[in-house]
Amino acid sequence: MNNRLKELRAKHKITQKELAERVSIRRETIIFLEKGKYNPSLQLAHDIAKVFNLPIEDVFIFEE
Amino acid sequence: MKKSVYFILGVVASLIIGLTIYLSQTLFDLKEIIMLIALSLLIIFALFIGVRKIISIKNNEPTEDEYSMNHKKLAASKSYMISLYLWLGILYLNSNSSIDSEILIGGGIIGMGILFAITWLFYYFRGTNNE
Repeated sequence: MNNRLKELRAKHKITQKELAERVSIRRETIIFLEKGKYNPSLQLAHDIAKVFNLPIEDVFIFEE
Repeated sequence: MKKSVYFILGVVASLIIGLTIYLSQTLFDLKEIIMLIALSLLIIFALFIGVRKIISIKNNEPTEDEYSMNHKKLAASKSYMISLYLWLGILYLNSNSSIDSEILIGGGIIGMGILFAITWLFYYFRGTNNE
């Protein structure tokens, strides 16, 4: 699973720390997500997508 | 970045301590030195985890979250599986060597701790993607 977190953060001018605070997770988790080293739960993916006002599939790209 | 520096400093310190003790072998024999180094590594790992938590508290972020819990559970399950082979080896040594059972059991428990630390670090650097 890929994601557009870094790109969307830059677009919305949100730092990793701010995003982490808004979804109540550690900044380290955002780093791992951006590096593609961790696939989030559906709940976390939903929360992150909500921050950017986008549907989940626009933030997280599922590969078959 | 800070965390990595703390970890590297810890490893260097343990190596220096281990080497110093090894060079002054009049106090300890080899078995004791190995046990001491293993215990030092475990203490350093515990300190590393503690420092991470303190940094999280200072930064007003949760000490545990979805990723850290998954990471911990994965490391624990894998290290438990590997430790079964460690205990198998210890059982073999118990019946085929002259090493005391107390030392073997102590070594097994410390070994389990070290295995957990190693698997935790492995998944820390590799990530837990699709696990």
